Amino acid sequence: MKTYGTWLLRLYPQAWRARYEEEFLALLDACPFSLWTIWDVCLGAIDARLHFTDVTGRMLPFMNRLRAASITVFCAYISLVVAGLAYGKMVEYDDFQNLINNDPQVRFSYYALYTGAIIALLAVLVGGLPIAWAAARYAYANRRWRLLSLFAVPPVSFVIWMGYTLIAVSRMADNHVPRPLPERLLLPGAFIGLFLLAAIASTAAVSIIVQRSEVSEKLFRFARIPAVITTLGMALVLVSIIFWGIATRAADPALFSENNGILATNTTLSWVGIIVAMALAVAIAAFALIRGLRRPGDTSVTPTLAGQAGM
Amino acid sequence: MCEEMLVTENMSDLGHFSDPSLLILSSLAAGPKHGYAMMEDIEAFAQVRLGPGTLYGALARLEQRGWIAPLPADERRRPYRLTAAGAAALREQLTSLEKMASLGLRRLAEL
Repeated sequence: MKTYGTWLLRLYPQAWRARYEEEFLALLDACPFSLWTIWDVCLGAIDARLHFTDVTGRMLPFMNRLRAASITVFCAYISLVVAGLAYGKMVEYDDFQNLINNDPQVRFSYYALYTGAIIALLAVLVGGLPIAWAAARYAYANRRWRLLSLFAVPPVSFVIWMGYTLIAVSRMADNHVPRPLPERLLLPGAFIGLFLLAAIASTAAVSIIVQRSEVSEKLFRFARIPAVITTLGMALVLVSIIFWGIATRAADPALFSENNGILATNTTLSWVGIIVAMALAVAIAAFALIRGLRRPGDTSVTPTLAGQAGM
Repeated sequence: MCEEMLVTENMSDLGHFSDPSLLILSSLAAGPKHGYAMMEDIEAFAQVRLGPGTLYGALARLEQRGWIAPLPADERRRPYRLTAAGAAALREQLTSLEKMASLGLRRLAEL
């Protein structure tokens, strides 16, 4: 009982544990062990991570909202980049490139997309680098070596993925050797899978660093403007891809209906899939921004009859 | 923040924890209790079993608001007491509930 309670307590933020750990463990020791208890404690931990404010006011709700908004916009941006890379891979073939060069509408949407991507990237760097630097300084000054080691996750993930890519490319380049079907499917499948894993691991590592470091509120306040610009850049990318698809379909319907999409799948389906992924990313970023930009003291709670009655 | 100011705050701000908070305040109205005693008491008078995570989520909010206050720990268990602001807030909420219940019952009687 004690072991599982101690383990569950690790889910709670450090400030919460500092205040309630002993008494909460005593309560867990008294409660009968059940899945419902574990579930309830997990929900409590999520709630504490999102909303807990200690009595010293060290973790102000507004600060938490700013931090959560910055992390969410960053994660949404990475999701959009992954979808954008899939799009980039799709249009690298000659037929798409010829269309981009020869059709003014397709070209316009393609360059608008790049403009949005560059704007979003610059804004992420402007808002994110000072926070990452402050987090690294905090981890180093406080000897939080585990936290500091998380900075290695993105480069290590990239090196692993690149290493696999080089091996896969060298094997696939030798077209004269006939290969069994599983191997032909496995090589590109693992290429995509490893890339996604590397992206998820890197994003999670950066998010954990920012979440667990004591970074000045001033930096998060400053990051609001780049976060807004990032979201607008992301929205421009999304709108441009929608227009690119419509313009491409109008200019060359056959190209758009054939299997020229990701991994030789249907182009329309690939396009729709990319749009859905990007729309989700933009919506998540926008929602996080709206939540994060509320002024301190604002609440979204609308008093209702039930609310007034405390129900 | 002084306790008088806290009384004016509405329990609806506690969101998902407004129900457990009301139960906890009602339980503490009978005297100081630690977490497990509150869970038992609430189960006895309201037939609701609060989980440990829910209980401490609500306790943390009530303590931060100044509606309850911790007492010195008894070994590992820490009892909590209702503050004056907490008692006023509870009274306000229960009065409001009572009015709503009376109104609802009157309307039902007219059916």
